[in-house]
Amino acid sequence: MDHSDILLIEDNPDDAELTRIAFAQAGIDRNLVVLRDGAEALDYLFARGVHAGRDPAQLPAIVLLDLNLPKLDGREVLQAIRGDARTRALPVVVLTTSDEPFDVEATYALGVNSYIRKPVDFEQFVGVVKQIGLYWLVLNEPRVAGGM
Amino acid sequence: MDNSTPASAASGRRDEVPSRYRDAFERAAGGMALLAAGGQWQAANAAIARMLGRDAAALVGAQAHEVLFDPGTAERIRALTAAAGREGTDVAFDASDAHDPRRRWRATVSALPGGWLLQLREAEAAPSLPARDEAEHREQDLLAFGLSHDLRAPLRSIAGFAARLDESASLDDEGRADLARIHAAAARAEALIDALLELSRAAHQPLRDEIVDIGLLGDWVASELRDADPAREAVVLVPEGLYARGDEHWIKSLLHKLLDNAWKFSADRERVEIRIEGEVDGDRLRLAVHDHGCGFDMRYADKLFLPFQRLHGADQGGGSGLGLAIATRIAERHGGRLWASSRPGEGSTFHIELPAAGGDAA
Repeated sequence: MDHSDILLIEDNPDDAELTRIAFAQAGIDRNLVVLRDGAEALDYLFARGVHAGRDPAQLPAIVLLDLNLPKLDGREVLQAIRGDARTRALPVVVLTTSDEPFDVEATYALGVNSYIRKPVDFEQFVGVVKQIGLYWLVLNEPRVAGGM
Repeated sequence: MDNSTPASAASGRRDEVPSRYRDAFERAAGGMALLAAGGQWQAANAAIARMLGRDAAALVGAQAHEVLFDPGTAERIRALTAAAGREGTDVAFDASDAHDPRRRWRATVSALPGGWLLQLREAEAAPSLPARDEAEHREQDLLAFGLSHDLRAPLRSIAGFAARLDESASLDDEGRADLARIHAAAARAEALIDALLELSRAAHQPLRDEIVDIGLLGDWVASELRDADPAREAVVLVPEGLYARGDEHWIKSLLHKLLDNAWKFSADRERVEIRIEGEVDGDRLRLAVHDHGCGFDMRYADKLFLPFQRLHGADQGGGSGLGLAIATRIAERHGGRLWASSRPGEGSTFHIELPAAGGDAA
């Protein structure tokens, strides 16, 4: 099994820290890379700007994406990920506070793999994170990119 | 037309009256059609032709309502015109276009000697709000949405880090009790944010127009309540064969609010007993939800339906204080009403009036 990172795109430092703790409590032993806005997330994925030195073939195992982000919002990030051949197959899970029916439908239409509303209750949140880990990191074998 | 000229010329005054009636019919501002006893359209005036977007001549000759209106309306007219009408009786109901549910009218079918008069009026302005109102509503929605998002984030931090503290061994019992209070407060605040958001949506979200099976929704809600409180003994009686017209999601939410209240306020009874009854009266469906719970003092009945007015404390099952405000909003959006009657200590009855699904009245 591969041990690539989990990429979390989240501007709220408390939520980022809670997500880190939840992954640890869920027993998911992966490196969590946290980026605070959509523009930086795309720089990271495509190895450009401040992340120009990165190997763009090293993709994360999964992207956890908040919808309300500064600069480029989550929907735009999702569109950019789906619009590029290198990242098209990347599993993206939207983790958000919103459960507006409009948002849910719109993000599925943009090609999100899962849509999860962050619960206020921390125990529930650990449960949700466990499910994400089980489904996307264990059951769902990643598609291997051609250049490996 | 052709043969009326010689006839009126021949018989003088006598025939001027029917011809004036015909002119009045033709030029009336309201939409009118004359139907034969069996439902065939015999005449249609200019107004009804304009409303239905057809040529008046094209409406005459067949049972035009079968193709002009939505199935519920067509069934309604079919049932009315199939029955033997008592002269002088009028039946009014909501009608909508076969292809465009946004085109709605208020229809009246009146029994005449040997046939029927169908009248259409434009429905009251409700569906198309003035632009300014819509802009205001949009702003309120965005505000409610933003509030719910932005308030939930700090709540998550409070609950999350409290849970984390709870795990550290250095806390004594008192510290843990304090944390439990923080937890409970965060949960209450979350429920309140959810309810506020639902109130805003209930007021502004566009409603779907469908036939809604009340019995099905009643059973569905009852099983949700049982799942949430499986140890509780409960009898919930739900009638079959009652159909409302409206948005299933919201009517279910309305029933959920009423049944959930009935359940909660029966806490000090040996078992929960809820009975839903219903009847169709013309184009209205009247439902009553009876419980044998603690009831309330009728002096405060008006307060019951206002946001944040509670007649019960949290220890008696009181909730966000928004449930019945949301339920009222849902009933009113459907052109219906919600009211209650009760005797303290004996139980309460909540009455709901909604549009009945066309056809079931007959």
